[in-house]
Amino acid sequence: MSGVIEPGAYMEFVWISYALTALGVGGLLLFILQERMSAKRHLKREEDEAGE
Amino acid sequence: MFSYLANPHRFETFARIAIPVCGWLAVALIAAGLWYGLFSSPVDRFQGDTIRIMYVHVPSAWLALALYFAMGVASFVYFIWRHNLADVAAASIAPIGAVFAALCLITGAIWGKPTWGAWWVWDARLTSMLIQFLLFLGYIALRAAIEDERLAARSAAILAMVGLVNLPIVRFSVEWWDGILHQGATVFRADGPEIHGSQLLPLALMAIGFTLLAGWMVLYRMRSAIMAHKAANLQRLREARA
Repeated sequence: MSGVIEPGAYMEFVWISYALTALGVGGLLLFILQERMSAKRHLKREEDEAGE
Repeated sequence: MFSYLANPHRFETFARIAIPVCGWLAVALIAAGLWYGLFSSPVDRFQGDTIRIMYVHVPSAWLALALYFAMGVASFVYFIWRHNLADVAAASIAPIGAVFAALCLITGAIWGKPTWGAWWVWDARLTSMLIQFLLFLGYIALRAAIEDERLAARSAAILAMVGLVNLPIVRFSVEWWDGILHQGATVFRADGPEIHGSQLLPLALMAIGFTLLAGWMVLYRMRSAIMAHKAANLQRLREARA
């Protein structure tokens, strides 16, 4: 590192890092929850078919 | 442990308890880590406020490596002992690990620009981490490309095991190669952590919180995969009867 970064400088880099992390983790959570709903629906449909 | 959890009923009992425990603990620790990391911890003497990027970058890097290790071990267990649940675990880990590896690379680039003056340099740490990310993608792509489920699982398991070689390269690259721009280890050192307690606290909170969140995600995905397998078996039976 060539110099000292002043406090408060480059704060946009900090916020963008946190926002992108939130986006990545949030997207992953949505994908996981959607995957569960899809598996649940499929299982229920097959169990209903098997019960008939 | 592996043999015990290989039984789906035992795994189900374990997951029912572990999922909410991991989930709620992760929420509490990440909330506390965010508060300390963004607002309470002091600025760094040299890096100013950009040090706060460390609280998301390092946990992402740690998880990318830990998840790959877990995926490699699960693949080994599947390959040797044919525990189907181990294959489910490896397949469940892959996209989660890929996202954390991507986050590590992205936040690292954003941190690199103000501190190094460059978004990216082809030094051994960054390059080996990029390879780690590509290994996750390769695993996912290989599974998706092969139609025969068993062949796909076995091929992907071999790739995951071979990829384990990259883990010590990522970890020790800063020691093995000269002229590395990336800083060396500051937490897991033989003579103790090199960073101040006011920075270590948010880092530990975020790292443990992220680990528990990843644990929640893996277990949740494994239960979804078991449901999907049950549904597929019922569908096959129904179609065979018809």
